[in-house]
Amino acid sequence: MSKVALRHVVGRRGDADDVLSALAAALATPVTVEDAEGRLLHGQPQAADASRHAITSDGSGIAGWVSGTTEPAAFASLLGHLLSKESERKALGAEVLHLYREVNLIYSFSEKLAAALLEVEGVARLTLQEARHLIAASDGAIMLLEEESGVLTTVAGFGDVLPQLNGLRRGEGIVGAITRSGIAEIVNHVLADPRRMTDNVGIRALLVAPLKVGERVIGVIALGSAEVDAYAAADLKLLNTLALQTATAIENARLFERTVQAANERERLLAANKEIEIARAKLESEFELAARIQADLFPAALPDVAGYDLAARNRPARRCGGDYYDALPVAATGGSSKLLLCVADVSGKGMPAALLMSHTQATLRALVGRPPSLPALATQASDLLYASTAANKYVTAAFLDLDIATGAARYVSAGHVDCLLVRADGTPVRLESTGAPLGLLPPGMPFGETAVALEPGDCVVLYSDGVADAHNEAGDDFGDDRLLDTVTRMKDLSAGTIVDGVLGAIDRFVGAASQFDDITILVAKRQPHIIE
Amino acid sequence: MSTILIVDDEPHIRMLLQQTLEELEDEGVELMTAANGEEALAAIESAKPELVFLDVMMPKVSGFDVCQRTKRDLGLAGTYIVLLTAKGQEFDRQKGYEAGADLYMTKPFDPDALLAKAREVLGLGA
Repeated sequence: MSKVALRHVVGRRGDADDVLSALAAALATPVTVEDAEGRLLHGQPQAADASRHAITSDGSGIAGWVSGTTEPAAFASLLGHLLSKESERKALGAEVLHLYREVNLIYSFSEKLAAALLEVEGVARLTLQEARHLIAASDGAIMLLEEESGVLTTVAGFGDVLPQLNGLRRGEGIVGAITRSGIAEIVNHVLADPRRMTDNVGIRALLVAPLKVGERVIGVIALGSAEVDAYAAADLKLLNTLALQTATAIENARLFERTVQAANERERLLAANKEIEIARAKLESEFELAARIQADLFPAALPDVAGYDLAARNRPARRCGGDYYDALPVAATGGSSKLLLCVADVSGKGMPAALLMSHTQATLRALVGRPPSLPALATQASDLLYASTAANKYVTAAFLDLDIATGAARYVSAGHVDCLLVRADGTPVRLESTGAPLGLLPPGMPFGETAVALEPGDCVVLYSDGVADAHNEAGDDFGDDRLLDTVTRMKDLSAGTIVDGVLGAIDRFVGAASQFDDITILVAKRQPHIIE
Repeated sequence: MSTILIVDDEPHIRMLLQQTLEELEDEGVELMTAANGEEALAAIESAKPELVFLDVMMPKVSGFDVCQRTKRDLGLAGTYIVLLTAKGQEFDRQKGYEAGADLYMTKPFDPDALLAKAREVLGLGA
C-alpha cells in the first residue's frame, strides 16, 4: 500500500484538524502534531516536558508525533488510523485511475482506428505505434497468418529482429507457437525457452498476443526487449486489449479491401461487357450488311423464258450462306438461245463461305458464253478458283445448259449431289456427278457431261445438299426419296409451287430442329403442250 | 504555492482528477475541490487558484457561468480555466471560449495529457 505523508491528514491539506481541535477542546488539553521531520502540522509548540507519542500506520515507520498532556497516545492512535484509511483511499484511487487510463486507452485507440483509413497496413502501423507508446519495447511486429499455408507475413514492424520473422510458419519458434496456441504470453527469459529458434538474437524478453476474430487466429502482435524480465502482467493485459481491437479492425479492413476489389472487378466486367456488346452490335450490323450484299448476288428475278417455268429459293442456315443459284441466258452461235441454270455449294459455312460464294458468282458470270462447251466452262471455272483460293476451299456445282427451243440440254456436275429430273409421266432420272468439285484439283481437270432431253411436262430440280441432308430432332435426314416423292406428287403444278412445296415438306419434317446447312433449290419445268 | 481547483458534480470524476494531479502536491501545489458551481465560485474568490479544471454540465450554476463570472465579475482574467465536458458536446466549444475558457478537454480525459497541461500552466518541469 502506498505511503501517505501525515500532512495529507493533518494540517493545511488534511481533514483531521477539525476533529483534533474538537477532541482537544472536549478534553481541555492542548494537542500538537508534528511530522517525522519535526515540522509543526497542528497546534502550538509544547513545553519540553509534554508527553510525545509516535504516529505509526501499518508498520510503515514513524509518520509523525503527537505531543500533549492528556491522552497523547490516543491522539496518536487516532491519527495512525486516519493515516491508514488515507493510504487505503489513495491505493483505491490509484487503482481506479489505472482502470480509467485503460478505458481512456481503449477509447482513444478506438477513435484512432475509426479515423484511420480502412487499410490493413495502416491499422497495423497505428497499433504498433500505440503499443510502443504504452509498453517499452526495442522491437515490434504485427504479422498476419495465411490460413491455408500457415505462413506469417509481417505487415508492420520496428526494430531489427521481430520484423525479420516474416515468413515464419505457424508453430515455429516462440511467436509461431503462440500463434498456434492462440493464448497470449509473457516470455521474460527468451534464452531459457525451449521453443526459441536461435540464441543469436538481441531479444531477451517477449510479449506476444494473438490477433483473434472470435476463436480464429488471424495473426499475432509481438513486442520485444533486450532486457530480461522486461514485462509484467499489466503489459500483457494492455497488449491483449490492443490485439482484440486490432484484430477486428484488420478483419474489417480486409473485408473492405475485398469489397472494393469486388466492386472494381464488377466495374471492369461491366466495362468489358459493354465493349463486347458494342463489338457484337457492330458485328451484327456488318453481318446484316453482308447478308444484304449477298442477297443482291442472287438474281433479282429469274428470266422469263417462253415455254419454261422457272423458280428458285435460297435459305441460308446462318445470316450469310455458301449456296448460290443462277439462271443466265446465253446467246449461242447459230441464233439459238440457251439458258444456263446453275446451283453451287461452297465448302464451309457462314462468312468465309459467303465470301467464296461471291467469288464463285463473279467467276461464273464472267465465263458464261465464252468457253466452247459446258465441260470447258467447268474446267476454266475450276482453274480460276483453284488459283485464287486456299487448298481446302472448293465449290460443288450443277450446271444445265439448255437449248430453249428444243429442250436439248447438257448437264455437268462438279462433285455436286445428284440432282433430279422428273419426267412428265413421273419417271425419275438421277443426274449424277461428272467431275471433281471446282477449285479442288490442279488446273486442267476435265469434266464429263450428260445429255438430257427436256420434254414438255418434264421438270428438272437442281438443289444443294442442304435439301436432302435437312434433319429432324431425331437425327433422320429428309433424304432424296422424300424429295422425289414431293416433286413427283407436285410435278403438274407450277415451278414456284413445287419449290414452296419442297420447302414446306422440309419444314414439316424438320419440326423444331435448327437448320444446320444452307438450302437451295431451283426448279425448271418445260411447260406441257397445250392442246387447243 | 500554486493552487488547482477541481470542479465537478460527480464525486468519482473529482476523485480521478485529484488522483491524476496528486503528484503535484509533492511539488508544493495545493489541490482543492468543489462539487458545484456555487462552491467553485466561493473557492475561486477566496483561494484565487492559478488553474481550474471545470466541468461544464452542472446543476444551477454551469461551468460556462463559473467561467464567465471568474474572468469578468471577479476580475481574475489570469486564472487558467480548462473546461471539461463529455464527448459529443463539442458544439459547446465556441460557447466555452466566448465565456473566457482557455482550453477545452473532453471526457474521458487522458490523465497524462491533463497532468502535462497542469505542469505547463503552473510552470513545473515534466
